[in-house]
Amino acid sequence: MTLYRRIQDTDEETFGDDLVVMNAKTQAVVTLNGTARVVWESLAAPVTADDLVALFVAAFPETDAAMLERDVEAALATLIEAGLVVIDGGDDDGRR
Amino acid sequence: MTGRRFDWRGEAVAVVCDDAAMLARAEAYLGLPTSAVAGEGATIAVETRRDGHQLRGPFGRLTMAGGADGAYALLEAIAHVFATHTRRLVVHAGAFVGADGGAVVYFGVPFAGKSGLTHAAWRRGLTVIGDDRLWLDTAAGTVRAFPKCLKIRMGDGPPPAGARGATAAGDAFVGALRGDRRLVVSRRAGGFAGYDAAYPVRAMAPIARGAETALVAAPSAEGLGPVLAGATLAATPPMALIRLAKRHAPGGRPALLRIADGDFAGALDILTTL
Repeated sequence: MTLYRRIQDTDEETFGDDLVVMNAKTQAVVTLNGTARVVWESLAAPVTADDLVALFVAAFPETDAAMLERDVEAALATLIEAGLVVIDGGDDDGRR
Repeated sequence: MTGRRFDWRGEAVAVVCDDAAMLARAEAYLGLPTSAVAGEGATIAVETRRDGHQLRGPFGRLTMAGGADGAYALLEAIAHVFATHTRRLVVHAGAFVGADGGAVVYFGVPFAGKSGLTHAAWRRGLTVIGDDRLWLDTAAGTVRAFPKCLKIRMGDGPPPAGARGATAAGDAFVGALRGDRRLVVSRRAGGFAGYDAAYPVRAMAPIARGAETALVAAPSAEGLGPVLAGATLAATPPMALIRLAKRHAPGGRPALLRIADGDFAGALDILTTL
């Protein structure tokens, strides 16, 4: 199973209900709210996408599991695209 | 060719121009210290052509009609070169000095209403720091003037009533750039902050057009977008600017000042109470 982790060099700041995260190397800034913020905070240690989905399903038992899975995958994709999350085992630029 | 070096507290733009009156107007309107410069050191070169003026610089070539349009283009070109070559944090924002001596800063994308709001502040007798660009020192928490004149959007109408005195005194003229007609007001006209003064930031708010004039809660992405847009972040991490914006946000939370069509006085009422 693929493990995902945060890159190491980031800076973050809460602003209202959101979390603003900056990739310190590229200085790209992303504002995270809702699912993306929880996914980011859940990636304090490397986890799999399935672990993340299981976490959300346990936290929101009333919500449709398929929908939660789609939301988590979308949030994870956003974080990877922003260069804030990489596959564990490689460097922060995504090289293995 | 006449050449002048415009010095903005240690950063400089050199202009050579074969129209001495045009260069003198730029010098007077910006109010920066200047010195003589030889042609080979120029950042911007202005040449009079049969059909107007041609400006050459890091922005490429710009052919303008003569007279006021050319003078407006030169002022804009000088500001553009300062903004694109600076090592300072220059933000896309306007600001005025509030009653307590602190600066009220409002960020906005083009057409958000920065110039209209600044004009309202100027008419109300508040000291204007700038209407479009400012120098922010995030470490000191201060804001200073950037070398750019107040430009009031006019459409096809006459100069606004509040600016007729400046126009009569030779401190304002009407110029058009890419079809956008503006009243350009000299920084030597009364009511503008000098370049040496650093004002502590008291409040910061992004602005945007809206159906009603009101300060509204906004998602942080919406509130931070105008703050970061157009900022020269080469030497300042964006997070320093974000933290300053957070520290001075109304209530410490992301907010947006929406301005109804033309209601700059109402928006100013809100800003002066922050």
